[in-house]
Amino acid sequence: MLSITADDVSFSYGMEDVLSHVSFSIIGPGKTVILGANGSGKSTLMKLIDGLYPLRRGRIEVNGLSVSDSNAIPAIRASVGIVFQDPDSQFVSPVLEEDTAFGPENLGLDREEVERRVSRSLELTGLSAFRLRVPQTLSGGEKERAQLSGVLALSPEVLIFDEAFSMLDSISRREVMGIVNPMRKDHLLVFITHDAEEAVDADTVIIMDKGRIIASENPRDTLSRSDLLRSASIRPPFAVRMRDALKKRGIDVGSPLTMEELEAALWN
Amino acid sequence: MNLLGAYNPGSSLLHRLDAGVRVIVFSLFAASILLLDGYGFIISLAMLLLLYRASGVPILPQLRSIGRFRAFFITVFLMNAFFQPSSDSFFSWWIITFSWRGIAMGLRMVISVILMVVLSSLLTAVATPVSIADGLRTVLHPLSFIGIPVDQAAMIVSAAISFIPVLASESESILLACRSRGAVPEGKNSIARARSLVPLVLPVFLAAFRRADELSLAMEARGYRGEKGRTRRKGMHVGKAEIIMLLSGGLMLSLSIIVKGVL
Repeated sequence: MLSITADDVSFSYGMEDVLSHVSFSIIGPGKTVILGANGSGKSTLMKLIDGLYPLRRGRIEVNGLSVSDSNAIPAIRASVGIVFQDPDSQFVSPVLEEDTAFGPENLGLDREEVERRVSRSLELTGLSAFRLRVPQTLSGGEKERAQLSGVLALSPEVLIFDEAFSMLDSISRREVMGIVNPMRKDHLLVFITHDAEEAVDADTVIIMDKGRIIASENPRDTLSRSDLLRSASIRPPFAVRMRDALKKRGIDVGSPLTMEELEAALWN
Repeated sequence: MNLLGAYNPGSSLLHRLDAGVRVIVFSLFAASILLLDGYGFIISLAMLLLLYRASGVPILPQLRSIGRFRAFFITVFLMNAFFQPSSDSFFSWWIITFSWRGIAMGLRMVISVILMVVLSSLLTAVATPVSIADGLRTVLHPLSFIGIPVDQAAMIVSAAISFIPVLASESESILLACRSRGAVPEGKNSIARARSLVPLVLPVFLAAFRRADELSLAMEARGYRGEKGRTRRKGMHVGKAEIIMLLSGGLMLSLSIIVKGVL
């Protein structure tokens, strides 16, 4: 079963807690968005989920495996793929195919399987023609796809995107989302972002503020509450902002979350 | 444009050669160059011309690029010409001895160094830095059995190489940011320019450490736990081409030893 559960997790880098008594449960497949402003603790939470930082207080389990168990870490890292924010800092090799092979090589797979995974990942991300290119010379969108290719080569069941698309223009973002979105059918996708717009089509939205979870529900119940979002320094989605503005003028359009819903409400 | 040390993509025999075998073959040719002198230089030069021809890499642009190292070559020549103890000196003062023998030795050294530079630039022209690091890892792998971390060193080299363009672009951004605020003077006074670059050192170092930290997290997240248990994607492959090149390198070295004995 695809799942991530956190139970009473607290974490600090120094004296002050970055995460404070965080508890949640995510069951896959599907798309979950962890929404929070800068400094809300969402990226730290992601690093704890993958066992990149030592967990001292509380308990986190990924697919039933505890991240506190050092013997379980290799299995957790094989099943969780993380796409970080800045692809330039993630490339291990100056040749794309070698970089894509890095993860499968770490898993100790046989050479044929490594090659198969490299070819499949590059094909899936549309980068087969770039396999001998230097990753740093690719465009922003291509770099993001290259990073995704390296992560997909691990064949992870859980994919975490840590502000992964915040540096992309809208066309490149749509391109990458076109690859990622279909995976929600059989993967657990976790998006960590400050952009509420990314959460409108999620199955679950977790809102974080100053190291605490202040809401964990479906997007319609969380994202419609602009007061809650604003209290966490998050800008509500455009449709919600528009709804609020229209409401002030006495026009009731219901609770649209997307542009399509808003448009339909305005026409009716 | 063919710059000295730049990779020149191609599909020649030397390009396709197994990374480990390529390192061994080039080491054999390098040993031959170091052994030969005098008339032997002609043999070395012929060997280099043949290798360049086989690789499809044009030799003339590489030779032109060598001019950039003239200060180094002059230093090598002068060190040999002035500091070679000799009985036939025509000028001698303190530890400085200027003699025909020293001049001849200086010329021999400079020619040897030039030939070595031309050979090594062919290696970097037919193989990417990672492929060279990979080849060195393959060749030196047996040393890991006596506790020398060859594989880890190769991984560090590979990661460091991939960071060069990133840090270069980071430095450029910091430099532009400083220039836009008037911190770096434009102009020809090189000392002032050099001194004004000092404040850039700290931000560039900080950026490098931040990126290294991010890279180490990304490597761990992709399952890296050291070299133990890792698949080596490209092991040593010795086919017909590799055998031909190994035999050529071996023959060249044998010839050099014979010629050295005769001359």
